[in-house]
Amino acid sequence: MKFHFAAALALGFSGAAFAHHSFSMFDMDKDVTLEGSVIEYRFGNPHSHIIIKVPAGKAQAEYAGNWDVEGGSATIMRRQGWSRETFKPGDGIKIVGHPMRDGTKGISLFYAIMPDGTRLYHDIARPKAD
Amino acid sequence: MTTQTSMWLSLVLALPVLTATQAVHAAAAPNVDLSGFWERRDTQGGGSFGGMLASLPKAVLVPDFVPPRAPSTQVDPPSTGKPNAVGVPYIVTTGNCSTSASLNIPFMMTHSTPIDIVQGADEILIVPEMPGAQRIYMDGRAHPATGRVAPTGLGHSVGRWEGNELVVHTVGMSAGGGIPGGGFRTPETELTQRWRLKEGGAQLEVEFTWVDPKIYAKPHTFSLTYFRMPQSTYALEEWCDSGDPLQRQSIVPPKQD
Repeated sequence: MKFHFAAALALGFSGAAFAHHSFSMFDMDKDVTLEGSVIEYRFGNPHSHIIIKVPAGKAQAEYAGNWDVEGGSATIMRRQGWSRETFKPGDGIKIVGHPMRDGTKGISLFYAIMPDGTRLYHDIARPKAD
Repeated sequence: MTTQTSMWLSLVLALPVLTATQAVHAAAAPNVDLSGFWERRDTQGGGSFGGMLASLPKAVLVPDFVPPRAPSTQVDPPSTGKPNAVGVPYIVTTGNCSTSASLNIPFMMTHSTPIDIVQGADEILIVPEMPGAQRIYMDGRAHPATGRVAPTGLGHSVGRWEGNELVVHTVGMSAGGGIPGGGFRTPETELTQRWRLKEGGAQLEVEFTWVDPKIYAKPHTFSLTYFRMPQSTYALEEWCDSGDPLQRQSIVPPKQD
């Protein structure tokens, strides 16, 4: 079998990002901003999840609907300033994340933008320099 | 021979041994303190966790290399080519829901959470913020015979000081990938890590060199930098319940209004 170097790279990088599971179903090079309200907030291991409702509107019509936002483990996110009380159902929320490749309303959290403008990151990764 | 003469003779005979022992301990205890918590930081702006490693050198693999298949903790349902229906989860694990299931080198060294170094004269522990720790034996022992070691993600590590540089040699790692730059490892793969402080001790550089003639056309070398965390830093507990179905799955397409 001829081994393809590109495949090795893909496997390597997906493995590097791997924690509980592969991230290959997310387009990690694409950033999408979602703004809406919190339906459910589960802060825990091995991944935290935030179910959010994005209202239909001109600014984000293509993203309207309910989304499953996947974050990191509680341990990883606590290091970035998150806690069990960061959000509760009904809160407004604005997040930036990497969407699923197949169009499903699921997204890997990059960071949340808090009302005062500060960012709470998923992990140690930071945005690319402009 | 009198008792006094016997005692002196014993001391004289023991001197070379004592001197050798002291030399070993002197070599094992330089004035370098790696103890404490260290974390990686995205100083370049990687854009994502994987992106942080994208600028590292690429591994040069031997032609026709077939990647080893590691035991999977992930049960991916067969892809239908279409998005999952509402309530059907993406990715269901076998139950090894904790990151401990994937505790290995280099994963523990590339993780988002810090490492805690516990430095002793005869042993150094590298404790990630997840269950398990890498033990580096500093007492001069050799690796056990390969056939006597059950491969694990962390393998078997021995270390020595070369001046102010800690040199760690690891073998016996279980088969897998995830090595930055597109590398792989098997139980026969050898890893040498060179740990050195820089910036007055505020940063720790670890140089990784992977050697395995069945995998790499040439040694695969890259470095990662860690930043010393405040002394007040303490470990957070990593836990999960593999019996909880919610913890065994990833994205679940939510119900729409």
